[in-house]
Amino acid sequence: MVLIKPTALIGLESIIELISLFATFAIGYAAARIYRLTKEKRYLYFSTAFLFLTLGFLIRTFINAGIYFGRKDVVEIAINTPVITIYKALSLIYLMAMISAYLILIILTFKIQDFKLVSLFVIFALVSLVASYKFYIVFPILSFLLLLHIVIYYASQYHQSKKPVQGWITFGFIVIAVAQLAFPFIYYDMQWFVFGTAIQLLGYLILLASLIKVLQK
Amino acid sequence: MNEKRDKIEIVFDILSAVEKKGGKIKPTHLLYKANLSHQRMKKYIAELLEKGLIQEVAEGQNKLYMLTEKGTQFIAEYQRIKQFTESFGL
Repeated sequence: MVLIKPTALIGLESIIELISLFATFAIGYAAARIYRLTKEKRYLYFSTAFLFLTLGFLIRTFINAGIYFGRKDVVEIAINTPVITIYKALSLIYLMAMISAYLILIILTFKIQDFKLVSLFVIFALVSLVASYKFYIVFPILSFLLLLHIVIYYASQYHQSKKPVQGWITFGFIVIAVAQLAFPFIYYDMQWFVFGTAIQLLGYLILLASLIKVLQK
Repeated sequence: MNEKRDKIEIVFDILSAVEKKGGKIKPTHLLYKANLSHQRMKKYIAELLEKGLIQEVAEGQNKLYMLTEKGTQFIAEYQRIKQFTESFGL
C-alpha cells in the first residue's frame, strides 16, 4: 500500500474529492428518488452504486485532509499504531466501496441477472479487493478496466440512440476511466495523484451536468 | 418489466390520454385510448380519483374525467424518469 506523503498533497485534492462526492451523491439521490416512486430495483442498484462512490470519496477526502492538515510525516504515522490501523481500515472500506460501485454498474448496465454470474462477480470483487489492498497499483488498473466496460456499454447505447445526453454520459465515463491511468504514476511523482483526481472530477461533473440536463427537460 | 412498472406506465397512458384531449375526456374515449378492459379501467379510474390525479366533472348530460394539477405534475415527473432511464441506459 502506498502511503501518501503530506509533502505531495497540496490540500487541493481534498476539495476536488469533496466536489466529486457531491456530484456522485446528486446522481445517487436522483436515482433513489425515482426508486421511491417506482419501486423498481434497477434504480435502487444504480443509486447504491453512486452512493458507494460517494462513500469512497468521503473516506478519501477524510484520509487526505487528515494527512495534509495534520501535517504528520508518513514515518511518524506508521509508527503510531492506532493511526495507521484507522488509515488501513478506511483504505480497505474505500477500496471495497469503489470496486463494489463499478461492479454494480457493470451488472446493471449489462443487465446480468444470472445468479451464477453475479456470484462470480462477488468472488471477483473479493479477489480484487485483496489484490488492491496488498498492491496499490492493482486498483487504478482494475478501475480503468472495469470503467472501460461501462464506457463500452454507454458508447453502444449512444451509437444506437445518437442522443447528445448519452454522448455526454459516455464522455463522462471515458474521462473517469482515463483519469485512473494517472494514479500508477504516483510511484514516480505524487503530483500525479492531484492530476488524476482533478481529471476524475471533470468526468463526474460531466455526469452531473448530464443529470441536470435530463431532469430539466 | 415488473408489475409495478406496468402499472405506472398504464397510469401515464391514461393521464396523457386525458391531457391530449385538452385536459378533459369522456369515459368511453378513455377506455379506447388506454386500451384496457372495462373492469381494469374501473379499477384504475377509482385509484386515480382517490389519489387526486383526475377528477370527475359533469358537462350537461355527460360525465367527464378532468386532469388535475397533481395529474399534470405526475406526467412531468414520469417523463423525467423516462428521460433518466433512457439517458443512463437503465
